[in-house]
Amino acid sequence: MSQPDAHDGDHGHAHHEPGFFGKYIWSTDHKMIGKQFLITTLLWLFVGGALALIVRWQLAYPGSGAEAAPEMPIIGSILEAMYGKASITGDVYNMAFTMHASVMIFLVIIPMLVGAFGNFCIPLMIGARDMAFPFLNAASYWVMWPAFALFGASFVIDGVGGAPASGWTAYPPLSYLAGDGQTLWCMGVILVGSSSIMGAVNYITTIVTMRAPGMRFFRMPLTVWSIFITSILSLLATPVLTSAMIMLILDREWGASFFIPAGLSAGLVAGDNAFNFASGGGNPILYQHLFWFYSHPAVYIMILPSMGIASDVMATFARKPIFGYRPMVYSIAGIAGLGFIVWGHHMFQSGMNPALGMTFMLSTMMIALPSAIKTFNWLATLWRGSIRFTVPMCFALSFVSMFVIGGLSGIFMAATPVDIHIHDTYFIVAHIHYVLFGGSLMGAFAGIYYWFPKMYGREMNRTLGYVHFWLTLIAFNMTFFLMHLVGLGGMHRRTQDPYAKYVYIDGMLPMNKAMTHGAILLGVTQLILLFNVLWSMWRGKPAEANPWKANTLEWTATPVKPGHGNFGEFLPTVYRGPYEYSSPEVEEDWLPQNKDLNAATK
Amino acid sequence: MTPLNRRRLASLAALALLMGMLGGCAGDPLGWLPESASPEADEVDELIYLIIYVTGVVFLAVQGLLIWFLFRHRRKEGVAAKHTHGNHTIEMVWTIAPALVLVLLAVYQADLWVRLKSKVPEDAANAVNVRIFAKQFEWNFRYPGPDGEYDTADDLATVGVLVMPIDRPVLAELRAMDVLHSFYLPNFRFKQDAVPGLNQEIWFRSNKLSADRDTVKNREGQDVQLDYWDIVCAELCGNAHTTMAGRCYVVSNADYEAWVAGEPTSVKLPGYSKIGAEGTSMGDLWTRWAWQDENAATGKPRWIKNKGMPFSGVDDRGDDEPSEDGEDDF
Repeated sequence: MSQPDAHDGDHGHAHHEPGFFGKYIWSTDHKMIGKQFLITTLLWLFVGGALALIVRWQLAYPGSGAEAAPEMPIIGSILEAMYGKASITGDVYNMAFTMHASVMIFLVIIPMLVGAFGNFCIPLMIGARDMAFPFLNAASYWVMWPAFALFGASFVIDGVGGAPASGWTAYPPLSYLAGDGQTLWCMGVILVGSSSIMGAVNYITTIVTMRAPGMRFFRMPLTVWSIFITSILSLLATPVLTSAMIMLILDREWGASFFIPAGLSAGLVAGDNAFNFASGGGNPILYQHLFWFYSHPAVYIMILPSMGIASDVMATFARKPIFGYRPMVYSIAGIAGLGFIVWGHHMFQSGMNPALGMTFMLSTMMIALPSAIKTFNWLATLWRGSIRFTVPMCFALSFVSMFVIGGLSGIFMAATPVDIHIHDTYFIVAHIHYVLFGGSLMGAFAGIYYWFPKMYGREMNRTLGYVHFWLTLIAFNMTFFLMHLVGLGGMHRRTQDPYAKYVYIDGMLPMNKAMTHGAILLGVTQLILLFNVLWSMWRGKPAEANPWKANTLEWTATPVKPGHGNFGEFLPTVYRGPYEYSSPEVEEDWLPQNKDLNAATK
Repeated sequence: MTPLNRRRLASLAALALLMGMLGGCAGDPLGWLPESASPEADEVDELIYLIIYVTGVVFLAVQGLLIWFLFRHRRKEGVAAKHTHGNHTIEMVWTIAPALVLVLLAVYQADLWVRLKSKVPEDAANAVNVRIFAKQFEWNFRYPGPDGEYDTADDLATVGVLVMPIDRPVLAELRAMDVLHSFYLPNFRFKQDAVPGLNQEIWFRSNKLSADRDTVKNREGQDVQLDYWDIVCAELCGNAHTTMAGRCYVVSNADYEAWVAGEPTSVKLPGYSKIGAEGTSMGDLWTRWAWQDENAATGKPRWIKNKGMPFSGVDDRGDDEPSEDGEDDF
């Protein structure tokens, strides 16, 4: 990462130049930490994706039925050499989807959106020199590494059967019975949570206390607003997950029995590995409440930053102010507030009192409202704009389009009687992927293409960007849209070979094959992104300071590649909101937040 | 035909199609759902289609507008974007209108949910009783037998087979002995998680003989005739979760009575076993049901043993009594 022009930026400070370690490893500079988060999470994206492909591969070539073995191309022969069977065992399959979801949620999407973009954007966009607590900020990144190690070790600690295989939700008693990998998984999740909390404390403090002169709350870009509210969510919800994980560890290792009721036994009739549960007195549903009290807000932790990024990108490339800036802010706050009282919709069929289903149905229906308001405002932002189809704009637009599908399919699950049928089917899998891939990741991709010139002082390759965009959009829908249909058809999730036992699912095998082919295309397509990022870092065309002609401070008040301290000797002064595009006050179609019109005329 | 007429005809046809879709809510016009086998399934399907139509309209409107705006307002030389920050009235409209739709949807759904999950059906007196005990990886069913009493010698037990009469509700108690399971009847649109430590009273019914089931397509597209409805475990329950299937036979009332009495039936049905002595696997299983009751009543678990604590490696299974020196295990 050595660039000759890395320090061309005007510092205005008398900082001494840090060495390699000081700059890349022990850096407390928010931009470097943001980039560290970005590159690390991008690499984990491929681990998570590979695990998903194992799952998809198995569902397309299950190794059962009339077709002759070996059914699995390429991988089948490898598996046959390893296990003597051309299909995946239940243990491997369960491990694959468990770790796919865990990696994607805890090691990719949350740290990418909150860690990478939160770190990189907040100080630059609000006009601060760094985070309020730079050391804590570095710690929030480095505490991820023990989590990586724990997640990695959980694969191998007990052989294949010992890896976490209870789903990313890790419901006891199954997670209680699981191998040692499950304990490492719990510890890893606790560390990731600690990272989130450190980040959240930092972001909230920075945004509240360190805004540049004139940067009122209602002049902040929506990216900053969304990460601000996301941080409040993280701060309030993550400790609940942490306590659930600690209780699960206590249950598993010392028989504390928070979640394990009395009088149960496992594997008794089966024989060999039979044993009885420890003491009893606990309740498995308690775990679900604690888990979803965090994990539902976590869905908003994963989508709100993307909403903010998409808003900024769309305003910039429609050359129009965001339509309804304040309603946008209030909707973010509304989503966050309601997000705390909808967790029960994950538990409609769990044995929770059905009377609670009514409450949670109403609150869940209502949380669709702020999302709807945001969607209408995005549409109105495009209306009579002057739309430029740059790569980040394409991703932001596809974010809106895909998020609408994910939002609408959520209404099916909110409706309790309908949920009876579709709960735990592929309909849910389709929904979550439309929200987390179609929403969160599309937004993150928009952010990567948008801020890359500011991060590395170079432009990303545009042709590769368009290829990446179109292939992603097509492959994504090919993979996940069909899941709605097989889900409505009653194909339940988390099964390694449902075709063998259920004829009505056997008929869905051709659809599953199509989905798998889409998934493979989707996975391969992301290599284009990785290549583009790495190649452009060194070889990209040198960028201008404000290549998009955007209004916000990170573009208008900093050099091409801001150095330590971000701004020159003086912090920028802010005179107006972030989205004054095509303003009649000036000739150009953009009006930077820090441009003093009076000074110009004097 | 003038172009105008043709356009009017087309819009009339579209309107008729829409009305037909709304009017024809019952059933499965798009053919996406599993065959319905109960009156409750028809009601659920109606709600599914209601939401498909409501969200479908929103979906088409939003995506249509998006694409239209992208085309209409793409960058053109000499055309500047409109400088506007929003409009209070229109914000109110698109806040209140969806809010009303969403609340109405929720209220409209509530009745069925309460009837399905919180109440027993009106004809509960006519119901069949059954106990469902889920364990890795099979569904166990127990019928009270001809005398109508559980825990007597004439109780019937089956593994993976539920036989029920048509048009009579089934009142079932649902339990799990090890991990979470989920009792899912796709054709009945019924699902309930089985939770260890929780005895749940559930009900469902069928209005279609399983022998009359439509053919189901397999992966080669061939029609397969089945004579049972599927029972699915829908909650991840371990490495053989995928195999935890069961069969639900819906038969005529006469056949059901004959099956319970051990007499010949007009359709072929799987057999059952009488509850054996304790010590057989089946007897062992149902003994555990009784212990769960006892635990719930006294709060004192009788079946306490240790998992084998991490530092001791002790696995003292086979001991019925609580370990007196439990500290040793730590």
